[in-house]
Amino acid sequence: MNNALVVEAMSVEAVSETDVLVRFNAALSPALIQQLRHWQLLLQQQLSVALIDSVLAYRSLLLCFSPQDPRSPQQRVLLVKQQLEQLMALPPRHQTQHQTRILPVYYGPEAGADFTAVCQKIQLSAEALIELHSTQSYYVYALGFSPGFAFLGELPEALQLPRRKTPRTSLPAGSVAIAHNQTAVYPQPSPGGWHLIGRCPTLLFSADKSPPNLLSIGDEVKFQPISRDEFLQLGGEL
Amino acid sequence: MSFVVKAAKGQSILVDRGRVHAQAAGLSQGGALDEYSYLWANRLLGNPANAAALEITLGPLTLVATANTTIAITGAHIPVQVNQRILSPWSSTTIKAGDKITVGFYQGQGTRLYLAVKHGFEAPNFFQSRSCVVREQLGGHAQGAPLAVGHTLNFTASSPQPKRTTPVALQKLPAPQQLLRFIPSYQFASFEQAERERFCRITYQLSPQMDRMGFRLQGEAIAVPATNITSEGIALGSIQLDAQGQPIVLLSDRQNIGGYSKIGVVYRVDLGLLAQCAPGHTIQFSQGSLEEAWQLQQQREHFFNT
Repeated sequence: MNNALVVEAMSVEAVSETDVLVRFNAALSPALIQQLRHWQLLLQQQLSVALIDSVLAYRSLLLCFSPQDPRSPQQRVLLVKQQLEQLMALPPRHQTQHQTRILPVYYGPEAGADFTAVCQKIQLSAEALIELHSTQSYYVYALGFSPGFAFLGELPEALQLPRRKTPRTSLPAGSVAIAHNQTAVYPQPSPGGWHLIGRCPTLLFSADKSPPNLLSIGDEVKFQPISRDEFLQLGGEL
Repeated sequence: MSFVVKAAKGQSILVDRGRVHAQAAGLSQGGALDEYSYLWANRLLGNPANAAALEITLGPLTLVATANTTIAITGAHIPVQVNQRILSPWSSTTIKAGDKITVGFYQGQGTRLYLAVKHGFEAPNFFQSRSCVVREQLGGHAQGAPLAVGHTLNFTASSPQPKRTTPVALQKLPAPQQLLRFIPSYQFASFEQAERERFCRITYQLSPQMDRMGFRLQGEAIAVPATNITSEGIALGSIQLDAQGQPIVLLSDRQNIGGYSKIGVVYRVDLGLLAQCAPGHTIQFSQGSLEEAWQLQQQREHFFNT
């Protein structure tokens, strides 16, 4: 993997007194997000306590400097540019730290309230929907929305639908959902506008673990179809 | 050594300056909405700037002390009594074991009262912070729960300290028509110039749809650029325009990412004033500069850390 091929250019902007936004001009891909995740971790180390947070999502990285950091926004922009240019000049990496996670899913109308409607909308049989959703690998492009929620891409084109017109005010924990070119598991009962096709019994977030998230940005995720009995045995609730 | 909660309405939670590296994990930053008042409460007690304090929204709240300490109140002008004694706003006072602290109700002058205790409240650290984020059910003294009757808030007892008061000129609450200065950034350049200028002439009213994630404003609609934005990290104070062209200012408990157009970011030193406003409050935006915002932020930081 050649870094220069992944990231053609970037723009670095001070968006607030403390925050610097880096936008990478590159096509979304698993290789890109894994590269950016690697750089995020290196920048966290290099900037140390001057950096109090950072938000990596798809192809941008927001770097949140401490309000106590004495550098001016212009100095921070230069510093970030310099650091990233050095990282981009490094030889390509052959190993990434990303993990592969298998998430079991009980598909079907009992576990996913929109399963039947989705089959009708995309004109696929139940088997074909499950097969399409669970055959390929997905990658974590962002974390957010609620604790443990991971935005996974990219959904096969045949499964892509706009969001529901009316979001649900509450949906069950573990709901496996699709919308546009993404899929996700809702870790907690929450509101949500995506189409529900099944449920996953795996715990995705626990506050007392470090890190609390099961999934990290760049991780590979595969869904494995399971039966109703297996779902219940794994601790799932209907 | 604690305060025991005897009555609690509105929403009272523990806050500090917010979590560290939590947004990287998909969580909210959290932290005091009116950081200025919060920092003053700790300053009056000689606490570290980041000591955990109570953010009391609207009130009322009644606490009984089980040990001696000193407290400080700042922020909204909501009446506070210790037993029968009425406290002056933005000042500290000593507390004896058995004392009853009664926080009254919203009086139309600020919505959030900060109550700090000498040495700060004790609570588990989550991402280096004791800030409670109710939406996530995480942090604070009781895993994301606001204060409720029977809860205890722990602190280390201390001997009495002399009374201190914030100079009146430095006690800040919003003006009837509050100006919010902002840094043009993010998608600012994508808005049409006429719309950018109009944005600063519109008189907005704070919508009832407001919580610690963000405050919605209502006014004439702004034409929002049609560009498709890939979700990106949202800085504290970002002004996001929804599909209807209405602004929402994103605050401490905001989601970490979003894909709506942002016309800029409210000056950090102005955010606390917004946080004190109630629905219906009149707001106007004023285009400022990154340089000025940073200078003011650095001055404030310097003031509170020396």
